[in-house]
Amino acid sequence: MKFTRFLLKRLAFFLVTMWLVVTLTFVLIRCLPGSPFNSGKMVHPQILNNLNTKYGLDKPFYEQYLRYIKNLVKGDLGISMIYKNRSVASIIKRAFPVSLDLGVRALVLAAFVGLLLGLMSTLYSNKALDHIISVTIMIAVSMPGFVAGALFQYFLCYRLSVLIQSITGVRYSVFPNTGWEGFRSTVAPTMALAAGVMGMVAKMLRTSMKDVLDQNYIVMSRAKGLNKREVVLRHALKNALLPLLSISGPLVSSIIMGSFVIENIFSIPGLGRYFVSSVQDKDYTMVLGLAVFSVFIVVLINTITDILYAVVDPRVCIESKDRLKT
Amino acid sequence: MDTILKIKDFSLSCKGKKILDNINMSVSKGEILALVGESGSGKSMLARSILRLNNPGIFDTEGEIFFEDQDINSLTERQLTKIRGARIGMIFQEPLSYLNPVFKMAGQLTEPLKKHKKIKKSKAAELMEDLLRKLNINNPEQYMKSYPHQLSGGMAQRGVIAMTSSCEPELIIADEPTSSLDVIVQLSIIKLIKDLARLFGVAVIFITHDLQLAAKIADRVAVISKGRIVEEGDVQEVLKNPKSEETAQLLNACIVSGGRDTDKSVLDKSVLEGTGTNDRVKSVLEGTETNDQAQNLYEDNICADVKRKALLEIRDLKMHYKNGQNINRALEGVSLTVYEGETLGLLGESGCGKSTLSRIITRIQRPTSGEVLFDGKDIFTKSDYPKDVQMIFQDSTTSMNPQMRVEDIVAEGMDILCKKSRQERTRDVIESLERVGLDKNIKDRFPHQLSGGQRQRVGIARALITNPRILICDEPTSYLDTVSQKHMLDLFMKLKNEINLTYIFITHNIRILGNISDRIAVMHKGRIVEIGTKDEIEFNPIHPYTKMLINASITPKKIQ
Amino acid sequence: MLLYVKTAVFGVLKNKIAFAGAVIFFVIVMMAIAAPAFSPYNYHSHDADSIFLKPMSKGHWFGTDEFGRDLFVRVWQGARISLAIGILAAIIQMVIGTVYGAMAGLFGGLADEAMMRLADALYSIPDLILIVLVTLMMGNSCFSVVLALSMTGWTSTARVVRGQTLMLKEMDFVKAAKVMGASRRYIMFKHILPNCSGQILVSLMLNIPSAIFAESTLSFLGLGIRPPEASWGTMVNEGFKYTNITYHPWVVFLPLLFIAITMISLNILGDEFKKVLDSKH
Repeated sequence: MKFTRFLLKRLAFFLVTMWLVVTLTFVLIRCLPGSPFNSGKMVHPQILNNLNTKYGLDKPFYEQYLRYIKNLVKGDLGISMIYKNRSVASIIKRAFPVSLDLGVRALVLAAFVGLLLGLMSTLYSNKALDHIISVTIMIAVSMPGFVAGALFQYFLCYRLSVLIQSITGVRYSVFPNTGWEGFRSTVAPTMALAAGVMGMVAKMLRTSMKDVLDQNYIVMSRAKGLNKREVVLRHALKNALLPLLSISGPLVSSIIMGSFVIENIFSIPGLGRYFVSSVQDKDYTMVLGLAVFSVFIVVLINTITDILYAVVDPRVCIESKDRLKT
Repeated sequence: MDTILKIKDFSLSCKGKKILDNINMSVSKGEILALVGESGSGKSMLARSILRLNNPGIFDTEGEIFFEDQDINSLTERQLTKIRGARIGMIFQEPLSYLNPVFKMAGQLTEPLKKHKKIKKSKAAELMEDLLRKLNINNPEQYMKSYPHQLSGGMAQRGVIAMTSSCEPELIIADEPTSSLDVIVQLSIIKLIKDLARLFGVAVIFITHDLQLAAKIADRVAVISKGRIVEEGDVQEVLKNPKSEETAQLLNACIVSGGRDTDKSVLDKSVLEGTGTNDRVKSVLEGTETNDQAQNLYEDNICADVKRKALLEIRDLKMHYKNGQNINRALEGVSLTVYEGETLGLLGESGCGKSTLSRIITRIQRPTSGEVLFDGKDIFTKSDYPKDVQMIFQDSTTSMNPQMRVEDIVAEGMDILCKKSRQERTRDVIESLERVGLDKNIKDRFPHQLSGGQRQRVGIARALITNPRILICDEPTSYLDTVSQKHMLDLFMKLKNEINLTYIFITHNIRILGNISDRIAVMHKGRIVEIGTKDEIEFNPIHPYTKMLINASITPKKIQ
Repeated sequence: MLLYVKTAVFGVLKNKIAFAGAVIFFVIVMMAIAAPAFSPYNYHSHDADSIFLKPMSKGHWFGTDEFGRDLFVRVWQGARISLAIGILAAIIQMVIGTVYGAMAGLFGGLADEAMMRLADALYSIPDLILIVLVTLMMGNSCFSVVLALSMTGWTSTARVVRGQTLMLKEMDFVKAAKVMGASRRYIMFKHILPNCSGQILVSLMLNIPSAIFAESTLSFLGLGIRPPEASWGTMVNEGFKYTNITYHPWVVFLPLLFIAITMISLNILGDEFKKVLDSKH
C-alpha cells in the first residue's frame, strides 16, 4: 500500500546515505598524507612490505574498496594504527554504551524541560514569565556545548564544593568533574549536554504552537466553548508536536556532537573522547571507524523518526502526492 | 416576537482604528437575519465579536451585546465559554480548515455535547450519528471514523452544522457557510439551515456578500458597509426599495440575467437533498460527447451574415496526467473555434478542465495530443505568439511580482519581446494604464499599495501592452466584491468596442457570462458538453448538465 | 529585491532587542578590526613576570594568560579569526545553497528529487564529523577550515531556497511571465531569486553563528585552528589545558563570554528577521 512504498523508499535512502559516508571515508583513507606505517620511526623496507601485505595495502584500489565494504558489513571496522592489538570494534563496544547512556539521559532531560518551558511560554504568553523563558531559551540555543560544559563544571563541581567547604568546613565535591562512576558524576555532564538541546526543543515547540494557534480550527474550538487550557492541551498540542518530530534528526545530531565536547571536558570514556584523541594521535583507522559508526547511529535514528512521523500524521500517508496540478 | 439578541451601540477598534462603528442590530427568536456586505465591510468581525472570538489583546470593544437580557460582552472568559457552543453556536466558511486535521470526526463533533451537556463519549457518538442521519449523511459510522481531509466540503459542512445544533442553541451564527462550495451544494446547505431554523426554532444570523442568496433564505436583512449598518428591514422590501446608496449599489452589482422570475422552479429535489451527485444525472452525463451540432448550427447562422474569421482553432485536445496507477484525464478531446471579435464564454465548475485549456492555449503547458492553430499556424512553433494572445489572471495579488513596481509589471511583455528606449517604454506604459482607467502616477507604486480593483486593472494593462488579438480572462472577477465586478465588466465592454478584442472568458458564474458574451461553451469533466449563443444556453439549454447549472443560479421565489 | 530587504530591515530594527543585538555585533566587529592596533601589547609578547594577572590590573584590561600574554589583544585578535572564518564560510554556504536550491526547484521532477536526496544525505551526517574528516585531509589552516565548514552548512539554505522556488514557480506572476514568452533564466533571476532574497538573508544571518559555533567547537577540541594562531575556540582549549580554571577562571571565561555574546546577538537578529519575513506572508 502507500505506506509500504514509503517505507521502502525511506530504507533505500538510509542505505544510500550510509554508502555515501562509507565511500567518502574510504577515499579519505587513501588521500591521507603518508603511509600509516611511517609515523615517525624508520622502518626496514622488508618489514614495511610485510605489513603492507598483511593489511592488504598492496592490492588494487577496487579490491581494497570491496574488502573494506565486506568488512564493514561483517562489523569489522579495522584495527587501530597506534594500539596495534586493539580493534576499532572493541573500542566501540566499550565506549558506545557510555555515550549512549549520557545521550539518552540528556535527551530525556532536554525533552522534558524543553516541552515544559515551551508549553508554559504558550500558556502564559505575553506575560512576564514568557519573556523570562524566551530569554533563557535564546541564550541556551546560542551557546556552543563547551560553554555550557565549562559553566556547569565550574559552578556545579567547583564552586559548590567551595560553598560547602565554607559552610561546613569539610572539603567535599558533590559533583565530581571527571569520570563516569556512580550517579553523582553523571549529573553535571547530563545537564551540560541537555542545556543546548533543551533550548532547541522549547523554541521549536513555541514556534509550532504559535503557528497552530493561528489556525482556523482553533477559532472553531473556542467557538465550541472550550476554555484556554482545553484548547491548548487538546487541540493545539497534538498538531504542534508533529513538527517537533521533524527536528529530531538535528536534535540527535546535536546530542552526538555535543557529547564529543562534554566527554572531553568531563573526561568521560565515551566515543567522543576516543574520537578526539585518535584524531590528535593521527590514528586514522580509529578515526574513520568511529566516524562511520557515529554516522550510522545518527542516520538510523533519523530513519526511525521519519517513519514514526509518517505513522503519527494521518495526512502524510493518505494524501496522494500529486506532482502535477490540474 | 421576543428579541433574543440585541447589539447596542457596539464598536470595535484595533490599535485606534475603528473597524466597527456604533452597530445596532437585533435578532428575534426563530428568525433568520441576513447580514450582507462586501468583503472588508466588517461583517465577519461583527460575527466573531458576538462571541468575543477576536483576540482581546489586540481588539478593544465598546457597547453592549444583550443575549436574552444579559450583556455577554462584559462577561469573563470563563463565563463566556458556557455560552459558546451551548446557547450560541457558530459555523464558518471553509469547513476543512475549521476542523482539526489530526482528529477523527467523531472526536471533534462530539465535543460540545460532552462539554456542555456532560454526556458520555459513547452516548454522544450515538446522538451525533442519529443527527447526521437526519442530515442526509448516508453512512454515519463511516463518517465519524474519517478524518476531515477525507471528506468533501459539502459533507464536512453538514457535519459542522450537525455539531453546532447538537446542543440545541438558541442562536446560530453562520459566517458565509456556503461561499467556498459549488452552487449546487450551496443550495442544499441553505435548505438545511432553513429547515433547522424552522423545526427547532433556532434564530440564525446568516452572513453573506450575496444579496440574492440572502433573499433565498432570510426573513430580514441588515446591510453593513465600512463598519456601519446602513439599512435594515424585511428582505423583500429592501430588495424592492433600497433606501441607502450602498444597498442600491449591491443590488445593481448583482448581475441577474434579465432578472427573470421563473415559476417553474425546476430545482431538482434530489439535488437539494444533497445525496452527493444525483445518480440519475450522473449516469446520463457519463456517456456524453461533444455537441458538434450546436457548433455547426452557429457557424451556419453567423457566417451567413458576416464572414467572420476563425482566429483560434482548437482540435481534439487531450491532456492526461499520470499519477501512479491512475490517469487524470483533464481534457478529453476538446475542439473549439474562436472567431475574431467575439466574446466566448467558457463555463464550468471547478475541476472541469477550463484552467487546463487556458494553460495550453497560452503555451504554459503542452497537451498530450491534439493541436491548436492561430491564424492557421501551430502555436507551439510560432515565434512571437505571446504578442497575439495574452491572459488575465484570477487572483490579482498573486499574479504580480510584489517586488516590482507597476511600471515594470506592465512593461514586462514589451521588455521580453523587444527592446525599447526608456522614454518610449514609459510612454507606452502610461498609454496602457490610461486605457484601463488608471492614473499615470500609479506606475511608481507597488502592487500591495493598490486596491484589488486597481490591481486587476494593472493586470489588464499588462496584457494589453503587446496589442494582443485574443485576451483570455481566467475568472478575473471572482476575487472582487460585487461593485468592483461591475466596474470590471464595464471596462471589458469598453475595450471590446475600442480595439476589437477577442475574448475567451472563463468562469463558473453564469450571471456574468449572460451579460457580456456572444457565445457560451459549457465544459464538464474535460469535455465541451454544449456550445451555443448566449440566449440559447440561457433560455434553451439542451444538455442536462447545462440545465442543472442554469437552474441553480436563477433567483426563484423563496424556497418553501 | 531591495524592497524586501528594506522593509525587513526597518521592521527588524523597530524591535528593541533585535536592535540591541545588531549594535552589539557591530561593536564586536569594529573592535575586532581596530582594537589590537590601539593596545601597547603585542599578540606574541610573552612576559614571564606578568603571568596570570587578573583583569583590570596594571594596564591589562582583560588580564594575562599563562605566558603573560595580554588577553585583551588576544581576544580581539582571536575575534578577527573567528569572525572572518564564520562570515566567510557563511557567505560561501549561502552562495552554494542558493544556486543548488534554485536549480533543484526550477528543474523539478526527477532532477529535483535526486538533488534534494543528495543534499538530505549530506544534511543527516553530523557536521562535526565531516568537518573533522576534511581537516584531517587538508590540514589546519584557516583556509581549510573555511572550506570544511562551507561543505556542510549549505544544505539548509538549499532546502529553504528550493522550497521558496517551488512555491514561487506556481505563482501566477511566473505564469504570466511564461505567457509573455520569458525564458527560464529570465524567470529565475527576475522573479524567483528576488522573492527569495529575504529567506536567503535570514539563512545567511543564521549561518554565521552556526559557522562560528562549529569552528569554535572544532578549535576547542584541538582539531581546528592551532597555535600560534588562535581563534576564540583555540583560546578556550588552551585555557583548559594549561590553566586550572579554579584559580584563573578568566583565561577560559573571557573568550567563552565573547563567543556566547556574538552568537546570541546574531541569533536574536536572525530570529527577528525570520519573524518579520514570515509575518508578511
